[in-house]
Amino acid sequence: MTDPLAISLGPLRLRNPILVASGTFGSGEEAQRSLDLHELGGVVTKSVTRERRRGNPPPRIHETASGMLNSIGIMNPGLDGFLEHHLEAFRALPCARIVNVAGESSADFANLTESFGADPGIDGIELNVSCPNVSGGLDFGVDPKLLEPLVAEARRRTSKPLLVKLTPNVTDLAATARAAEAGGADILCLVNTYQGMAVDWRRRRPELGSPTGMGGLSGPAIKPLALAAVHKVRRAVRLPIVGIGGITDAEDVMEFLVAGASAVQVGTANFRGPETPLQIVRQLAELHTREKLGALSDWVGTLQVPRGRG
Amino acid sequence: METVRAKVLYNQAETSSVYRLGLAYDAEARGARPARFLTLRFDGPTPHIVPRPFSVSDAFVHDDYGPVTEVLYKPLGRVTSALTRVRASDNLHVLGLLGNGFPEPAAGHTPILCAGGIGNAPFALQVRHLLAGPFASAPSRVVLLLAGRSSSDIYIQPWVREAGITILETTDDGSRGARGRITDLIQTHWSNWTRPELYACGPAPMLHALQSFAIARGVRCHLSTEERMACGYGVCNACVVESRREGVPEGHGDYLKSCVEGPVFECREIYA
Repeated sequence: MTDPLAISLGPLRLRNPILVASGTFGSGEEAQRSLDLHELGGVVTKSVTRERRRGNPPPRIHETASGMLNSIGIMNPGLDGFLEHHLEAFRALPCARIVNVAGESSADFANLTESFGADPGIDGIELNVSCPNVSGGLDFGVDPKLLEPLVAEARRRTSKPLLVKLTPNVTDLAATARAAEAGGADILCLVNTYQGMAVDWRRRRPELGSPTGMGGLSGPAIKPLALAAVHKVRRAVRLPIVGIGGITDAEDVMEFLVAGASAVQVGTANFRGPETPLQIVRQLAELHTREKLGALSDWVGTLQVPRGRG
Repeated sequence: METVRAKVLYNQAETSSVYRLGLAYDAEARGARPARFLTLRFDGPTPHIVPRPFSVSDAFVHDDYGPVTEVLYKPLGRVTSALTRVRASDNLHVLGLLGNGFPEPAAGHTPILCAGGIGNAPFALQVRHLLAGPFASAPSRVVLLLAGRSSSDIYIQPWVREAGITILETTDDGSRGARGRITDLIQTHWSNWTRPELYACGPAPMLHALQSFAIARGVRCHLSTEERMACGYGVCNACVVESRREGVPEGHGDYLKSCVEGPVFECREIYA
């Protein structure tokens, strides 16, 4: 019998629908040192950029009501640093291994995709066209006319599963989702953080140290927004969706599945401790047994919105 | 390294601004070292998203409780204020121990422990380790400086006051000890100390002042930094401090993660 939690995510086969979101789990090395990640669906790395990035000045986080603002600014060692220091350990992870890449140009995205595009130790590539903390990436993510050719160019550089992580900071998320689909994405991941701000009014200063004073909001505060986003995109495209936004337990996972996601990424909750995503996997297994859920794929996108109200 | 639930043994106000919380948690078994830290998170009436880091203030075996880990905190923000309402037998989520901790003083050096306000947190454990080790027969050579804005900031665990070490106090308003800054206190006593090696924990301006002082005097000075962090184990990249390297101007240095590369840095390694 196959694993009851196993799911198909387009061309990807996952042991279960629990992935960890980019920027919240390093490249899995830190957790793998003390935990066994073979129970996890997969790990998505911190974004890798062409050049090393220093990131934004601190403070880089600020807790808000049921949420967290961050303005890390994609601090990372760059492609060469990642290849030298992290790739080997990342390849050795006993779960799906997805590299997240972020660029400042279409060529960046294509070249970064190509760098991992034929690596047998990598199971997928996620394009971060949506980070609100760097200029460049976000612009691609908000403009369907820029996004489609960007995805198409990356698509030409790899036959691996190509994931596109979308920003919710747009008027029409369905339009960017359709652009990513038209460009050849295999899987859509949504949502990245919502642009937000916290203010220290006494000092008349933003709480975050980023050049704009703004950051990205994550955590349970955005879960209802993310569910609505998944629901909308589900109706707009045929691609499988990875739901992201405030997921902290198995109940949250099932909500996203019913709303239209085939898998999820756990993000901010990982900051409670590296065991968090494994706990959610175990909760999901218990829930699955207790409530006899059957094949998880049968729950995906089964949300019924009653018609004719009012 | 995995989050566990640990029972609160006590949680009490020691002064109007310093609380002492004891946990049934074995820090020594997890490699306790002064200025290593753990993160705490609680459920309940004031849930929060991000655990908060606390220095391990002391670690010992209690006759009744067994292994105890103590933290000191000052109720300043929403979470630390809510922490004051946590009671004995409540459980907290604890992740630790994290970070590097203070190194031992070099042979023949005099450890000068510099505490600013709630920066007193790591020093009871450091005194405990120093007196169990190289200073067992010369406790008075361990110097602890307690500095604060006023008398309510001055606190160290009672047993430390009985341990025979040298304790000097100073407050900005003169309400306790000498009036002035910790650097004034250090200047006053500097000539009494043989090969001083500074250990500092406290507000950023104090760390900055001690850094300048130590560099000017050519002595080693270990700074325990405190930055806002989300994870504590190296993945969120929030808690950064700027590295200092020759030829790289301030504002352009690489950022170091204080949770895994610190929180302790020798003062020549960073811009405090």
